[in-house]
Amino acid sequence: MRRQELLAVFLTLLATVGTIGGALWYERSRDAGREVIELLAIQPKNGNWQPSEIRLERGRPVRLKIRNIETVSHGFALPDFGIGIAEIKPGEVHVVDFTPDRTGIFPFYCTVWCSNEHMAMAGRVIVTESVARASSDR
Amino acid sequence: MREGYVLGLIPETWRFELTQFPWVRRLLKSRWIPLALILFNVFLFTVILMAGFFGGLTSPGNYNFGIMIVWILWWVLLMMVLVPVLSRFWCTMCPLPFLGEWLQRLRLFGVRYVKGRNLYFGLNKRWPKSLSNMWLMNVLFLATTFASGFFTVRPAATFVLLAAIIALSVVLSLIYRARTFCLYVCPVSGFQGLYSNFALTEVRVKDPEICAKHKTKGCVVGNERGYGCPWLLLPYAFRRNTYCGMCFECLKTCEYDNMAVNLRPPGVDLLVDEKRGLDEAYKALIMLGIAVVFFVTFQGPWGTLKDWANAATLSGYLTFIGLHASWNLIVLPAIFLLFVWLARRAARQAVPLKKVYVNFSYATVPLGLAAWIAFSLGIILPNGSYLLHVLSDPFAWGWDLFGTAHFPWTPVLTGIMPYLMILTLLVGLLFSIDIALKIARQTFTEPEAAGRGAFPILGFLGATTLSLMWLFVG
Amino acid sequence: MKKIVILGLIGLVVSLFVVGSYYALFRYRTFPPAADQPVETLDVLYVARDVELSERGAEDPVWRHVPSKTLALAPQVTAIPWGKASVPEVTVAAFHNGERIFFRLQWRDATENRAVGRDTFTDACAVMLPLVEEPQPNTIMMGFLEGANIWTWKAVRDAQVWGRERAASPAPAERPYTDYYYPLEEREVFPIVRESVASAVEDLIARGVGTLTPRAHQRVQGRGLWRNGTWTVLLTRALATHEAEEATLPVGKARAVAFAVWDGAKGDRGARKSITGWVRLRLWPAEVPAGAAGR
Repeated sequence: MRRQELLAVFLTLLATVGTIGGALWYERSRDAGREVIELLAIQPKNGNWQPSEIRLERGRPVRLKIRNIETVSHGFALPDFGIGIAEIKPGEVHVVDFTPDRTGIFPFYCTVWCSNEHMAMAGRVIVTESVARASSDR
Repeated sequence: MREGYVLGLIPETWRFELTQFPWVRRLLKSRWIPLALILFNVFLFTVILMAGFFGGLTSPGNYNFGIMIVWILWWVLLMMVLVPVLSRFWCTMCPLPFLGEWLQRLRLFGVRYVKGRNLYFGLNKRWPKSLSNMWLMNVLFLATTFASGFFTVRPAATFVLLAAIIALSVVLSLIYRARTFCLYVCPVSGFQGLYSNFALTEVRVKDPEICAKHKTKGCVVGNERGYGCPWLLLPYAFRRNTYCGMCFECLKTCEYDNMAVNLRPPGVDLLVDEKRGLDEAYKALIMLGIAVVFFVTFQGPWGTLKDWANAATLSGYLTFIGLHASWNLIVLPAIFLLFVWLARRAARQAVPLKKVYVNFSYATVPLGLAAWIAFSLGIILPNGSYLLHVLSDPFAWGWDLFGTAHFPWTPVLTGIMPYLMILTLLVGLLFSIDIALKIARQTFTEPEAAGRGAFPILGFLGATTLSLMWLFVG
Repeated sequence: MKKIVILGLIGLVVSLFVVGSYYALFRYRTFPPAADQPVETLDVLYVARDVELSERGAEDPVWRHVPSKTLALAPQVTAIPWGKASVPEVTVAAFHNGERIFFRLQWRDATENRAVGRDTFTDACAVMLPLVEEPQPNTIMMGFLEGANIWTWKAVRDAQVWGRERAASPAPAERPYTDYYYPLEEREVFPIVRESVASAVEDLIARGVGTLTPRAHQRVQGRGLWRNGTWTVLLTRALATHEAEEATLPVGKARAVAFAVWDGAKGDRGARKSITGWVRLRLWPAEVPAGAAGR
């Protein structure tokens, strides 16, 4: 009886604390070694891309999690790095991995006619030299 | 139709004892049942709560695990399988009062039994007599449906609802005894209780003679093998499924192995004249009314109504609540009253109007259940494919656990859906007519009076069915 | 003692619920609605003047006096294949003289690409005039649902038409010519080889993506000049219209217009281009109504 009681308590903890901890751990380990940026796709009249400016370091792998939090479809294009997602459906999350290999300012856009202001749904990726590289160059 | 037969085919007294099989009996007598089922659902609802918590207010519902599992899978399972077939089997495995019950018993698996009684932590108060009925659940369920426009699109709203139910169950478990929360407060308990009268499954005494001679009544007071009925019933005597939570404690406590789980023909409890009341009559009508409102609002062609329910504007939302509440609490009960009044007049027999009203309300249960099953078809067939998505990416973090995260939206059988809905309604109508005729004979003692009195009620059932069909396909 | 424990537990559960609900409901930032996107307006004044399609015309003093607008360009990323970000902005000026309208488009382009071939693409620009004067904002590339009249200037055509003037080399028209080339893309449709090229600008109609069709009567003239890393392209057409598929240019009213630019060196061709959104094109009459100035 006592052993079964302990087993039940253990299973309860596994189902609750274990589930939460496991999910959070899995999420962290998936992103290990990458800079993770959550990008919210929002039509311009509701606030536009959040954030609308993404600052990256050259050579540092980055993971964009592009989440459509609206009830209309959006898309994502970062043409300078050949990255495009034709459609991100309402509620969907798309993961994009890339490593910026050059510095500069690169615009990104929505690719679906989400609203009358669709053409204004744009943001910028700003890639700079990494701090480490800059100091070693000197 | 033949007296004593369901649809004139199956004897009302027909039973098939599932617990006659030793392994079923062993399983149900094990303390791991229902604990193992509950633990699985504790895991599932942990994921649901997490998804609701992280989902926030902004993400739409179709890709949220919480919303999809609760409002697409669970609700549909409840209406289509669990309640009509397995009675309150959801209550068997419901994880929501798990924490409260754990605190009451201070044991998950074992039984605290000292000096001839179970030990409970908590104040163990009695629930007020005036609230020991379905009125509170009627109000709470109706109030919950006021926010139905949010639950299906705002993950955080689903989180708050479930968290509120858990918190309330813990608080009430600490103050009141046993499953008081489940019996008289839980919003989804009331309709499960009422509709379980239609169910194909029951927990009942095998041989009442044994119980009559047995004095200690472990099923009521508990013993070292289990707890006294947590649903505060007298397991040796109850005759309706309404308040039986199917926790199987009485199978464990019975010293004579005199409890059984039976299969039975559908709807027989609706004919049992025990503790019938206006609260249950209202429950029956409210459920029918809400099915209509939900269909009109969420699956009908009237976008304005949906905007109102989703609170696009405050005035629209208040209009929705006002219409919704008055339709369910006043208009539909009044329409039913009109038909009941006609029935009583046609019968020409002096039976109190309230009794006629209450009795005939049970005849609407099969039709109400059918309306909900039809509504559920309209949920699961078009939207079921989203389930594959949320299984792979429960928190919308871009996971793909089973490779189905980007499974496209695929409606299933939507072409024949209207016919399935109509068929469901017709089956419900058939059972409702059967019950109505029998209740007429119960209510009006003279056979001819019963025949005359049943007509207006059949008219109500027919008119309701036609209106629902018009809504579903028209 | 027991009561205190129970009260404590109740307090704990209730506060957990309140805190949890608060975080679930309000942890996301709320987003302030962005200001309305201003619609750019290009004023087309009346100037009693003609400019010739030449270097002189491109530098004519009139261009210093008429209003111009620098418009942001975005790569076309709605219909596949998408454009690459190649040209960030185009500066547009226009005027009319009661009979003809003149546009001058200028944009930075480091290379002059006047030839086409395998993996070689021409520079180009276009003026789109929807056949309805006030189209829905979402009709650019959505299929110009109501139909559009498009004037396409291509450097390769320009070389054929205006190259004859210089004419040291054999006439380009005698060479095999194509403006559609490998790789063929599924949804890219081009006007196919034509026998004679009378104008550097081709007047097209379209109703939906992939329906670009040359009009039977070509009335739009134009010329492009590349100097110091900048293209200057002049386009002109009579204000009066002859057919229904010819966009109207009503003096005294405003109508929609949009512009597109191709940078051949960066692989722009067909749908791969940079585009503006709709711009209001306001054609002023010769006599400016009192009180209208300064708006």
